[in-house]
Amino acid sequence: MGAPIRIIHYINQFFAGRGGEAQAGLPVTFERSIVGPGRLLAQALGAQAAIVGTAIGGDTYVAEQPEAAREAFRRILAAEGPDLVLAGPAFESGRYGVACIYMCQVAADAGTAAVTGMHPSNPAAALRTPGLYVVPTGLSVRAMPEAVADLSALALKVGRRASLGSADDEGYLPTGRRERVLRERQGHERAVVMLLDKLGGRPYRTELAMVGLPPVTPAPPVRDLARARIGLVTSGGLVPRGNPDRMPSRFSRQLYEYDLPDAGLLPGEWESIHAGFHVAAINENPNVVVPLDVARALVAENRIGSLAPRLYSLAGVGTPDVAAKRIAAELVQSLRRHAVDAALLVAT
Amino acid sequence: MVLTALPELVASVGAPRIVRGVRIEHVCGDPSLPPDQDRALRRQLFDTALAALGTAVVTPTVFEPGAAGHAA
Amino acid sequence: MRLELASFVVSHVGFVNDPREAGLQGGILSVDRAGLLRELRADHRLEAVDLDLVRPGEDARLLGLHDIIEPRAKVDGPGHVFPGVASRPLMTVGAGRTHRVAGVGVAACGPGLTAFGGAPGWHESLAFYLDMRGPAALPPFADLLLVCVLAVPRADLPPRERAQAVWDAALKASLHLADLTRGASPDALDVYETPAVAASLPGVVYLPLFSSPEHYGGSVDAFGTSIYGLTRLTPPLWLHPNEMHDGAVGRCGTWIHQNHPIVADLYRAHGDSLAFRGVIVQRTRWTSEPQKRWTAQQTAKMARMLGATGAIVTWDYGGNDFLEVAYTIEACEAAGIKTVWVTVEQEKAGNPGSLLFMPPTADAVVSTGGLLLRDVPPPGRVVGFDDGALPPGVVAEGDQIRSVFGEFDFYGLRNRSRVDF
Repeated sequence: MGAPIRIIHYINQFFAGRGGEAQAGLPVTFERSIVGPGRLLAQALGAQAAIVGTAIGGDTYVAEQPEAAREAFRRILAAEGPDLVLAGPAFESGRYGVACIYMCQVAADAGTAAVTGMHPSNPAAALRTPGLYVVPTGLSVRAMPEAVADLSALALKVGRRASLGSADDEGYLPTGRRERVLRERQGHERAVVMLLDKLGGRPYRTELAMVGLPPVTPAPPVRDLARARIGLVTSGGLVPRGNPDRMPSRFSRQLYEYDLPDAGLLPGEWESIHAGFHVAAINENPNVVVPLDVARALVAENRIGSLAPRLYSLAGVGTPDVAAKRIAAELVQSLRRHAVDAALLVAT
Repeated sequence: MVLTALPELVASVGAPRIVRGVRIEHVCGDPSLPPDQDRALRRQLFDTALAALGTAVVTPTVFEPGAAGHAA
Repeated sequence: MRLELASFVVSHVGFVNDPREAGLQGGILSVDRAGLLRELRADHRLEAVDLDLVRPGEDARLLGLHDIIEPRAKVDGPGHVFPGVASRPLMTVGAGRTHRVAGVGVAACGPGLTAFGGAPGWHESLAFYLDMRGPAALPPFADLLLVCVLAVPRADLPPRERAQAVWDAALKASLHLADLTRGASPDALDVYETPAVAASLPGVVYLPLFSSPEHYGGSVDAFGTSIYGLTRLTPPLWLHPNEMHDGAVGRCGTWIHQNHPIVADLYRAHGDSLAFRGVIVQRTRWTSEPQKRWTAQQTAKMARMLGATGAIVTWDYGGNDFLEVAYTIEACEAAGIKTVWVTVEQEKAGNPGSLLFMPPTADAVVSTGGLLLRDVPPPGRVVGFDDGALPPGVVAEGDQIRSVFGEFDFYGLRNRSRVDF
């Protein structure tokens, strides 16, 4: 057995015994001691790991000054050089959960292993990113003994950089990575067994869990449409006839931009190469997927101020999440460059 | 804001402002209509889109074209 | 509906020159090559037809593969196999006695068009291949002795006619082969019927969803899975599982529907752990949300009226077909019918999924994963037609990847799955 894994434990003001809500504005500090639930964790970790210090942060401080909080923690990690960060457990506490995720993210960014724990329904759990592990716990501090056992078990494996099994096998929340596996029975058999278990009230385990999406913050409404610049975007795969840029019909990985034609979108000059539906209607009248004729009329009538000079197009058939996120960032950048106030996205 | 024939799907991924279009293959029009009616339909959809852009929303909201006040 | 399915196990297929030598003897199927070709060439829609044979383990690749069909023939009872398909008589099937040739498939190969694409303006075209050896030799298809019907339809015919002509040639060959079993005694005889069972057993329905490219291909019967000859968007249909044994469902993997693993499981469990209440078939790729909800709600209602409290749901495509799946699951669960959904995953292992969303009620999912084969060695010989997408020896180049027949394991034929890390 090698040297013990050096762990920094992150907890909030409450679990550090500094006080409740009134002390939630405490900035992030560090002390070379084991504090609060860290004692139980140290016991469970045994000789294979040592909690070399505890970072303590007020939940309100972290919520209101996340960058300062993260920077403070970054400096602590740089000075102490732990093998692993262990945060929480936060149970159902939302702000504490968020703080734990932030600190684990700081650790992951610095190449340090990171483990935290909270109830799966804690909204912070949905903010987890690859590179850190979230152990599911019970709802309240009454579940501390099991949480301590589960956290320490995973922390030892992660801290040793042991190769981890699947989320279900090792007891952590899925990190978003799905890998191939060969199961004992064929899919059709597994389906019938799963159905009979479900009908019989016996436990069953789904092989594909619901993907929660982070909420979208709505942009404020456009105050003065008559002065607003509108950008036209479509995922309908509209391209100049002949598809000169060879936009793929599936698995779009980039965005394409075309100058808005002065003469409008004429059939014969534009077409759709989208693989996901019958494109005849668009080929006969491209305005049904990019309503340029009406947009121009509205500009002429001063109902809207102007149009972005470029139209944005792609065919998003089977586009992976990561590509979609990158395309979205590029689109926003381009729209901002052209001083666009609002975008109309025609989705097929 | 998103113009789509599948507003429930788009709402489920969190888009705040959504206008219901006609069909997947022709979201902003209807080729079975005579050209001037197709264009009027497209105009109505765009007007609904503009109304949506001018409306404050908190959660995904579907705006139905032709409905008085628009928001569904 | 009582069906006797007589199985004739074949371990070797060969062509003979003398028609008197054609037949089935000791597991060896001897085919009158000239006679069969004459029969196939009588179809004026075809410019050329040829036959070939490939064996499991052979260093061979089939290209331009439309379908694989198990040779079956109805020897007693109403109707014929493959009812309503390509102008065959239309009659409800699933009763009487049907012969099947086990271990053999007829591979339908044609140039350009596939069973689900190729019409002008249609930018989706699934061109399938199958290797008989190596990573792309997928079971169960690569374990079959395949009689390959290589049919070249006349170029002046519209896409619908060309697709139908290729499939029809393979169906004729299937019937020809199955007819060779008449008079022979079977290796196995299975009886399929669903007698009344204990009322305490949960009623279960199988709910397959089949994509219909009706809007694309300009055809109501030529592209996509065919139900009694129709591929168009129709309301849900209630089928007795025996109808699938007699080829009422086919076109995109006919062999799978003739030997459906989920249907087989539910049949086996009937009277034991459940009451199999039948198959409710839906079409997907309706083009608006209300239409998609319509088919799902009617299906859930039918299932409930049939006394189902459980359902297994499958689909066969991707993209917006998923909405019908989601709505079906939601409608069934709302009607008190517990569902399990079997699905592929459409992204490369390692990347986050690109499934559109998941309804909370889809809490029991079997994942058969995804299979993107890139490093497949070129074959010793190629049978069939080059689809023009990539050189015949290459299966992946950049984003262009050929699909292996059966790689999308919609029905859970294999053990492959995915797991969260």
